[in-house]
Amino acid sequence: MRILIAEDDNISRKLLKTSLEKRGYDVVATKNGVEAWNVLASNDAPQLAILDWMMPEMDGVDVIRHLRSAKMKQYTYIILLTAKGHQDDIATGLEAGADDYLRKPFNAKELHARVRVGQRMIEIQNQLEDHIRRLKELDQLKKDFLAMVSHELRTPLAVMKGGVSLCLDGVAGQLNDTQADLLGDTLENIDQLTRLITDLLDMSKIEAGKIVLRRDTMDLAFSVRKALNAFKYSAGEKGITLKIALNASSLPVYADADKIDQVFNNLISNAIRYTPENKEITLGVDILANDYLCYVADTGIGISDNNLKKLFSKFTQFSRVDGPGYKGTGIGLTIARGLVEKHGGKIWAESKEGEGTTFNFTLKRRDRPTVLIVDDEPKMVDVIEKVLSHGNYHFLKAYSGEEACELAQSEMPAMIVLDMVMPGLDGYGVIDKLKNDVRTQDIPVLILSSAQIEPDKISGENDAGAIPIMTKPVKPKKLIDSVESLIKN
Amino acid sequence: MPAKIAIIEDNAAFRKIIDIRLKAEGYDTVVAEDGLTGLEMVRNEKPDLLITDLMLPGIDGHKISRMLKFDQRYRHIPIIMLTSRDLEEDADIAKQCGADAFIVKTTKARIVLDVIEKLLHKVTDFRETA
Repeated sequence: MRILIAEDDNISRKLLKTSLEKRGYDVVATKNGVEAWNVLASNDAPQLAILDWMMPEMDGVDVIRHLRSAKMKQYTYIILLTAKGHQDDIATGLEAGADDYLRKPFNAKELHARVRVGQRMIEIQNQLEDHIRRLKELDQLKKDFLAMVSHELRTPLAVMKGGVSLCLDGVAGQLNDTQADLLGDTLENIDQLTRLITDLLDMSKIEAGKIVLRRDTMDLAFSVRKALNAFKYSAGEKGITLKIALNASSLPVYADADKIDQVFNNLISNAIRYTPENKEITLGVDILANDYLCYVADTGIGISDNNLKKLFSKFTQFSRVDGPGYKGTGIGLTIARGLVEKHGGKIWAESKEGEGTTFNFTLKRRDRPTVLIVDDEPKMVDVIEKVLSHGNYHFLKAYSGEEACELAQSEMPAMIVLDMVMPGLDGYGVIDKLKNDVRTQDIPVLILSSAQIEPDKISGENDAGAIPIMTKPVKPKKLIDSVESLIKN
Repeated sequence: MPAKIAIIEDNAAFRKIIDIRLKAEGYDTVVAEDGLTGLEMVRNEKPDLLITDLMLPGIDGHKISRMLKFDQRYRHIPIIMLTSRDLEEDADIAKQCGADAFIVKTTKARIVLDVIEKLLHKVTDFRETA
């Protein structure tokens, strides 16, 4: 193993070097902090370093601080060499980012013991990184595989469906009753397989963060009525009554109508599957202070508390009723959760065994796109809000980077106007956090800053969706146009 | 005179199905099995509507759409992209390339026929799925 040492005292340096070399270590010796930093910042830096604290110009602790604030690819284990013996000083060194320390004058035995501790830590670290890398590769492979398979399966399905439909429609000649009956069953099963593949594909899209919402002002009440009509027939076949409970004839909300329909469809088909014959299912929306509470309540046999927790995880299926019935993939609920969360809502189930299960989800009660304004200067936030107030927006305000991330994750705004220079988590940090979360990575950001922007520091800046930058003071018209185009896109 | 519909589809079985279905509905059809031949066919036959697959050997459906829509002589021809891919970005690119509709292949024939009917009467209806 290679070890970097930095020590300005010639005798001490030689002593360290020979002692370590005797034990078979490969030693890179440097005379000061600057030299040490250059080695550590290079591409194949040693993973363990022994740094003297007291060195001219850049001392050991300076090197450590530098190293820890730079985003290095590998972790360097650092032993701080110190003649200072006070507890406080050691604490300072450790706080700065040292992993261990060694007091001067040191004895060889202690030196080697400490180096071995470091070696163990590095090994564990390397193993962990290896595992994480391999898991990430596997995850990617799984996602690619799923997307590819779903597509490859759909082509032959389309051929089967098309051919059977042509026959059933009499295009290829008149069918007798038995033929029509058999082909009818075939078509039904093709449709079932198609739904299954669509579910799998949706699932892989949600996991890969590839679901893009097309939000607009829509009517939740209309969605509920539409869902009722879509399922009237299949519920009726089982003798199940579908009921609607709405408090208003129209419930405007800013959401993706197709995706909300899909959530209702998944919840209702799930409810029908698990509700015994001649019972009822109620679809409804309650108006809460800030949210709409949508629900699908069945009067089935219920789910135990234990299973309730697992309900929204992938491929979970419980035999809540015996006998035949449509066997789903068990991912309908997982998809519903992904879609609801993408809207900034929550989804959960409540159940009493023997009485039935209610699936609930919330949507923000807003009929306009939400703009999140982030600036540590409250006056600036007000100015931006005033400029944008002519547009049809709902506003959220955050006065720090931390608050901005929290609001972005809980509220899923349509876009974010972001200041870069803030105490604590700055704009770069906010972007980094948002881009690394599958749920928030697609939220468009507009940088509004008075300081010079360093594009290299912005995560994902090299991706196709480069982040637009505006410098303060900004012309109101320009700001209004940019916000509008980012939301529309 | 019945409307003439051009079909570009590399899967022989699916090509046959669209062809039979459209003929049964009373349309005239012309077919091609790859992008380049398909493009030539559209230029020669001047159909009233084009149904094209997305992934094709040679020139793909996006490129076909772009080439036709950026050409004064053919831009009036409505284009339906009929594909087994259903990523949002595929639909977005299709729209950017000027396609008039984006339909997933497993969609019910009735829905596809409705879209054809609408487009022949110049009503744009983007994105229909099963």
